[in-house]
Amino acid sequence: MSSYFFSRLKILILSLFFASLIIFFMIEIIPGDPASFMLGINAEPETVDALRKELGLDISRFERYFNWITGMLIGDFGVSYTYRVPVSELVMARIGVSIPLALYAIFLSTLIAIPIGIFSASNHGNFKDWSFMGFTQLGIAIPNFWFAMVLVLIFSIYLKWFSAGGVPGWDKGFFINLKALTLPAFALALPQASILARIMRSALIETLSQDYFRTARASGLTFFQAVKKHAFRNALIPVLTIIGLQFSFLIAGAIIIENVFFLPGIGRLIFQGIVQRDLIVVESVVMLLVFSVIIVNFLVDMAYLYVDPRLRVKK
Amino acid sequence: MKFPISFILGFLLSLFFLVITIISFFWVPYDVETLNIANRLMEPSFENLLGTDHFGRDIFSMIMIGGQTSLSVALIAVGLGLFFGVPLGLISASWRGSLLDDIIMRANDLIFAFPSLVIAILITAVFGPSAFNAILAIGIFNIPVFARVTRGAAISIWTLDFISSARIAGKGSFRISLEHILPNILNLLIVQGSIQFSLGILAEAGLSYVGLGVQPPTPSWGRMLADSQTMISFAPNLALFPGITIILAVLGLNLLGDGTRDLVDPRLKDKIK
Amino acid sequence: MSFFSIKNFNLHIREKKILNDISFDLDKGEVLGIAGESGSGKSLTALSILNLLPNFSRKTGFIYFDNKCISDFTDKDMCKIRGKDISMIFQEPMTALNPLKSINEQVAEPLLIHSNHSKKEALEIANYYLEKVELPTNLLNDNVYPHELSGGQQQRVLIAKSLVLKPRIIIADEPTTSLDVTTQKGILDLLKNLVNQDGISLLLITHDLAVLAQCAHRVAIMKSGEILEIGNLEEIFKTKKHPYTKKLLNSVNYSPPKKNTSSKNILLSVKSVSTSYYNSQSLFSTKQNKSNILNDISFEIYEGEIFGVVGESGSGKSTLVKTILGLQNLEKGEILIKNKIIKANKFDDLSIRSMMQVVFQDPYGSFNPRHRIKRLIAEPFFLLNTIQTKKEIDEKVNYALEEVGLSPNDSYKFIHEFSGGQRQRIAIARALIIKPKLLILDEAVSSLDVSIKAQILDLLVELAYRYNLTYLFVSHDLSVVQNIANRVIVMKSGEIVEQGKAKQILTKPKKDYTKSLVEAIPIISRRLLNGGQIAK
Repeated sequence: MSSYFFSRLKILILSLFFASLIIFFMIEIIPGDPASFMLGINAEPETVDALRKELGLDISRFERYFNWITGMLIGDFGVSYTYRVPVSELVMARIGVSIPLALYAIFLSTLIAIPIGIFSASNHGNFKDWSFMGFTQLGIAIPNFWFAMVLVLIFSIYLKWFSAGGVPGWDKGFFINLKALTLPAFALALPQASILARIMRSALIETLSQDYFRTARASGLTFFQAVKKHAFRNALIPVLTIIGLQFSFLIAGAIIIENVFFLPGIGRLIFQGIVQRDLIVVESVVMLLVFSVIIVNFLVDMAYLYVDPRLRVKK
Repeated sequence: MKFPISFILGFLLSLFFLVITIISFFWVPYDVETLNIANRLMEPSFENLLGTDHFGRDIFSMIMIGGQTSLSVALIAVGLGLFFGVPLGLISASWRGSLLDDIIMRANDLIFAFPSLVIAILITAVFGPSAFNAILAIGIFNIPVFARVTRGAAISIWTLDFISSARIAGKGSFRISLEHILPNILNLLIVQGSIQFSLGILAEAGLSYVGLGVQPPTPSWGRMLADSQTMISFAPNLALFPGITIILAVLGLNLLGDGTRDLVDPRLKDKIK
Repeated sequence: MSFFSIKNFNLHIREKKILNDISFDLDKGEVLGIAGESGSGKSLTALSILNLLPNFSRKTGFIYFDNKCISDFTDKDMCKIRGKDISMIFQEPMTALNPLKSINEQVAEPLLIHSNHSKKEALEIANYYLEKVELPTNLLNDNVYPHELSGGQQQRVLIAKSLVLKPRIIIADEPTTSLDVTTQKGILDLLKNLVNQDGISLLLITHDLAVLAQCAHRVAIMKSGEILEIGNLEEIFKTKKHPYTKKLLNSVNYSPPKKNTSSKNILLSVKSVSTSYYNSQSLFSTKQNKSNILNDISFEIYEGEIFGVVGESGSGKSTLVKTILGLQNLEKGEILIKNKIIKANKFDDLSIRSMMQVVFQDPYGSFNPRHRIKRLIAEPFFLLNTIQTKKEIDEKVNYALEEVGLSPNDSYKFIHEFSGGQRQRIAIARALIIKPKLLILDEAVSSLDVSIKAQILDLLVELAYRYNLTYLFVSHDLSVVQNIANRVIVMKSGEIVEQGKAKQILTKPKKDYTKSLVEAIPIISRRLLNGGQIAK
């Protein structure tokens, strides 16, 4: 394996470490005593003491951090104070909504963005390009939760094609769930697709002005052959970067969209955690979200390795 | 000088929202703190330009006042990003390849893993929701954005010969950064600033919508949308108008940013077809 | 009638006239050279033939190939000709190859487009041609990517790519301009032989008349979109009918009156200097590479002389300049100016710093585009301890501008209002304003057109006389250095190969490398220029 891989791996591990420190510091150090914070000012001292014991607050902060991290490594995310069940169980029950939603949205946005990007770049400067780019400007400006509300208004309330929220559960079949996730995924995908299409377009325009594109044209490839064989893969490098960066926006968007459509996902869980001052849930779920962003960016870095031979070091 | 259409359009839209927000500090058509249930859910009319809400408040007046929150939160967040991000980027670029550069860039990457919403969730979980919370969450996320843009642009300028000339003239990196680098990347920062401003408006709306930002009774565009959600089936106007307001404000700022870029960097890339 | 001809061809891009009434023929097996300075329209002539013009171009006139008027062809029809009958080689081999595809795949591509070969056959043919262009055998495998090749090797790959379908015409647009002089010779010889072997016609576009003198049968001289004259190489070079042709030919190997007033006082001494490059000691890098850039370099420069440094890319000459300027740390050795040590990256002793100034290669990157000329030229005053009044500065800036042939009125303009040659004049004015002892000229004339280059060299020599200046003249171009310098060092891979008097290095080089360097310089023989009188 190349040194590129190991240097990325090192960055991945360090990022996770520092991210966990930040989260731990925010949740367990800043409030002073998490137990009394969770119970509120009116709590009886005895209950606070009991909770303190339950949360393991009687040991040092260092030990607490160590236990939290090692616990998470083996899948122990602690026990939710309000639900009285392990956080991992709560997460597992909801991840079946959130992950399919995120994947569906990425799929949709790529499916919309790439063709628009290519079409606009190959019509660079003319009316077709101009109008498509106008639409993407609009797409970027639309708040996704508002777009979700409009979709509900049109497709659920007036047309009654889709239900306004909720999912039936995966045991009820694949397509019925897919249908239930379509509106939320579409709402999530629209702004992402608009950004991606613009990036795709400008990356392609950039590669179209490169010498190797001219060389390809001079050796007899038609415009679209040259785009397909030479420009596209080169333009993909900046597009990959953006897909990686977008993932963190997607996570944020998904948390909000789940609220619009009453989807029982990770986003709902985290808000319930905040409302009920269940710091255990908030701490672990935030760590999980940050973890997923870091992992996705690591995977994007690995995808470069596949696309770009310059990163592969030969022995 | 010929201005691009996007610049003119963006400038006018941005100016419009700026003006109505400033006016709202001194005057609004109707007081939004008094409820008038008799007039609730009115259709748009000459008296109530955009109609009234479920408490009979004038929606246009609320949008004007809501602009105060949305614009100021986004503006302060951009300011935070500029204030910390630009110096960090300049330092990183002038010490390129050093340990300090490495630490700054890795710290930036780390913050990128915390979307504004996640930062807001963390802060809210501990301190409770507020407008300050929104500013902090959006502003922190802006820091690495500006640091990266600054560093990237500054590095490409550091390689130019006029920087070597300045060094030979005995100028240190601090002086060079201020005298030669910063003026040459200012355009780029203005463009990025307008884009972050628009993203800030979107993020503030999102945070207020889920209740992590501005708290009632302070009006904000995001809060108006949150209030309207349960009534969307019988009063869609309540959701439509604040939504369109956000779209137009964001669109205006984005067009302004794009237009400025076209204006200051008129390289027309002709391609072979 | 020739099998290829252009008749009355005009080109506009947006509203600007680029080409004006271009007409010429090309015969089978002929090498036609098109020469011109930047902006003459020579490259766009080439692109017009293949109809690969930028957007917003408008053309009139005719291009005939094989009795067909290909200027009327649709893009689809042109695709059948491009790469098959007419192929093209571009200037920058580095960017002309797709970085993401292996080289044999790229060479095989025209075969897959234009013929019915299977992928395997196409790759075999590609490898045959890669061998033919003399690519080292270890690069003939699959999965060799462009970034693993040197510039010269990349250009060989592109030549192979242009040859695979045995085209009738090859258009080569400045094929050797971005290469070192020794590499250039190899590429030109290769191109000449291959074209000869297969009876291919070659359209060779270059700014370098000496290159044409070695390859072309006929030449066309272009200026501002027009062909000024066209004809046999010998005839054009001997008669120099057109005044512009005469000017160009006189500028080639231009030799300004040499300065010969050096003293025995040592101004700069470089004592066994070595530097190495570590890839950054970063937190996260897994490896640390050390590579020597300069290895035990020693020489002395006397007051009042012009000292030349010659080397190809990677020879370490720009690192040498940086170490002398104190912009880069030394690993070993020391550099003294007037017996004072130049400390790297320490700017406390301004009196040392104020003894030297520099003029860089790139006239576009040398100035802060946001400052006015006055402020740009006045920047070195920062080095002087004496405080200057505004009036004094104004006077000095005006004087400096006049001295380099510009007007005091220019001091309120911005740099983008000047041409490349004028910018180098401004750079010289900036360097000389504090009257330094040593002026370092780092490829200062390399990016200029030949006629401008001659003017700047004249100016430099004139100023050297007037102020008894000492120059360190660094260049990749041995012919320029030997014309201006008194003494020369030749560098290769961070070491000094040879040093001595300029004349002796050029006429009687001792080392093989210097010999190969001297032999590779394309020269227009006196026979060609002087109408038969053989003299050398």
